Amino acid sequence: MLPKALLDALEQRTGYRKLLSEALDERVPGGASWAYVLGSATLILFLIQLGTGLVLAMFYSPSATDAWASVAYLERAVPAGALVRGIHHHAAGAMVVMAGLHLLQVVLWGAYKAPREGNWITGMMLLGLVLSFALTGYLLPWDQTGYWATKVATSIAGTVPVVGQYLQPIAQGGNDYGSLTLTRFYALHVIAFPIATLGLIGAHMYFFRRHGVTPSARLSAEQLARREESFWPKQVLIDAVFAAAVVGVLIYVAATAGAPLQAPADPSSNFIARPEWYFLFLFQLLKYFEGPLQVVGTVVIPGLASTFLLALPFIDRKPSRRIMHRLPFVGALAAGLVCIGGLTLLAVRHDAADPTIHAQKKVAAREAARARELAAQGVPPQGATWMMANDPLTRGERLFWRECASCHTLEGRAPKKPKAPDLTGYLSKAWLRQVLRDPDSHRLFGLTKVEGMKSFAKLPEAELTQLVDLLYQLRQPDLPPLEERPGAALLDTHECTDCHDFGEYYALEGPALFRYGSAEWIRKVVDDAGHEAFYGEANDMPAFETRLPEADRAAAVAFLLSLEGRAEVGVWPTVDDPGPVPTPRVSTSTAADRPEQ
Amino acid sequence: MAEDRRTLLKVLSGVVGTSVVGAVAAPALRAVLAPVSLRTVTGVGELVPVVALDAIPSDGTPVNVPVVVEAPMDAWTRQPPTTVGAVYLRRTEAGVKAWSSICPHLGCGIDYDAAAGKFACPCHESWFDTDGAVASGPAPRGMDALETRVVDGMVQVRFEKFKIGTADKEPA
Repeated sequence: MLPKALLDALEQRTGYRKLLSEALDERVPGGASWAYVLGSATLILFLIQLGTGLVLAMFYSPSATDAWASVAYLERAVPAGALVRGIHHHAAGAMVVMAGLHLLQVVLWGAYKAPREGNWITGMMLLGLVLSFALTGYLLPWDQTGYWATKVATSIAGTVPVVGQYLQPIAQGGNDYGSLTLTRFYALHVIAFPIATLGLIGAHMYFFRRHGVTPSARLSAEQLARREESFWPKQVLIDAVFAAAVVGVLIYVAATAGAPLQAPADPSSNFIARPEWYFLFLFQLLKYFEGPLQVVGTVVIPGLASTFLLALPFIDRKPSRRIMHRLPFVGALAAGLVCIGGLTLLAVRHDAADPTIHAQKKVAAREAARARELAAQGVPPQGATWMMANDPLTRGERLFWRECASCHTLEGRAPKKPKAPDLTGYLSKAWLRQVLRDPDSHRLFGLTKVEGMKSFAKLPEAELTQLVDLLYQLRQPDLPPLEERPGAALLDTHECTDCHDFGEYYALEGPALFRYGSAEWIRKVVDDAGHEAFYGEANDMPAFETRLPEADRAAAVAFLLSLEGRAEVGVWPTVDDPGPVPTPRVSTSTAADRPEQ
Repeated sequence: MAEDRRTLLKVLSGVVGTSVVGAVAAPALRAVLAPVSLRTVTGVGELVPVVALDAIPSDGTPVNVPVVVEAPMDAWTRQPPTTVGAVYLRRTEAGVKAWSSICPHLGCGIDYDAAAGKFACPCHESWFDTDGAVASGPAPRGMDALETRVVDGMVQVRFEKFKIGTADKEPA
């Protein structure tokens, strides 16, 4: 404790005691209550956003090339960086919840009524700011979700009649998304909105202090007076305990779930954009209005609802705060809430039931992981989007879904009419084993004109394993010559060498297996599978040599080589149990069905 | 009794409030203070090939060569080859010597005055002998010598930065 003399001197110079007493000794009619925690919790969350936001700003770079990379760097390299970002992300959601509950309570208790119109209007504006923060903040990482979801929002601005053509470029800072979109969103998010929020909080608090708390309508004037006490310390403690609970949950969620970071924004992709959960109801509402009516769902209904809310104290003018006396208004609010809840639920259930969305989520998760893996080596100055577009694995996978997935099944995603071998775990030992056991299976060459290889399913287990190992080793350059490897004689015994050439790319009955499974072998097949050394006349696969540029073919090979090691490989069904025929992919929006770029 | 209760509430408020602030402030500060232990920019402090040995005059005249790092990291960015600084190289009987071109006085770039046969810092007129020692002027120490190595006819230099303005050569 500071000595009294020092505090006295401080008081003389600053008048801090009067200030403190002004702030803390406010009378609370009816006494301190847990009912009053929601506003203070929202305020505390906002202060947390200011603090964590400042830290994020120290590591963030608002440019289209750097934004994603800077966020990935914060997540990867900065101690506690992921936690701070997690807190900021989830506190944004918590603010929406707290502000929403605060609003709900004010409506239920009739606290918006005269003379508290000022409290109400500043409160509604603050709610608008909370949502604006969420919207602008979502874009800043410049990842796939942020990019595409925000694009929907600014496109909506563009569809507003008359002014839309001006609104959209103003909102996105140019004729299209780019660095100027980010700088604009960043300036709004970290400068304009915080200042506006602080000012409005000041006004909101001023109105609050002027009119005091709105106690429960059930308490009589006599009860209120009898139980009255000062704000400090009991209400402060109650507020603090509630805030501690909220922050405890917040930190727990931030530490365990973190904040999402998808792959860098890619304007050429067909990412399925979904807004944050608290905007899902608006997103769902869009689906019901088609063509020229679209503006009803995007602007008219939300606009009317907001106007109704804003005007509530002026429409509902009866002094009574009893719920029974305000049924139409409370009822309208309840109906609105039910609609919001119902629409949110519909949106969640629709996505949960859509296999295309599941498949896309898997691809998105893999691309996100790959992007962060690459970023750990440093992002080139051209930016993270360029980095991903030039990563052979990512490029190869995108090519696969575009060029190959109309005939080949991969990892459970089957084309409408599979025409070629399933490439799940391609060239892995499990895959080779299955080719030996059941080459004409409906998941392998049974779908093609390639035929004539016998099944080795009846072979003793040890011999089968040895054959698989031999085939698997053909891709490895540094082993002793084939004939010196253990079990090499099996290739003759089982007449493999009658149809397959193991010494050079030469045509026999079956495809040459010289360097089988190596990048070189795969590349030759990708280039021209119909070459006489491979599948010849039985081949139906396009010669990609004439169809794709060199870099694409190299990327495709890199991707095919990676299939063996992917988590989705699973176990191949046995001949006796051929397993379920993969279900056809729902073909609405996967890359494979899009026209060539 | 009522007063005791009030005091208890006050103390509890203080404790709970401080915990809430601390719980958020701790990770925030951890991140803000991260640069203390984080290597955000690389390239400096590594042996970097700078010039062919043949390109250094055999008469002992110093040459100024830039230090170009192949792929330095700047936080998240892997940069293209980047010039991180310059060194003076001079042949001596004991082999190639290297000095940073950063003046230990206040960090200006040092020139070589061929007429005077001395290094000169133009900012505050510190003069250095060809062995880097202070000849005259305000510099608190001689020019900072750097580690060199000759590999396959290429001179490599470990380019480092040192504290400016101190009498002792300490890593920056």
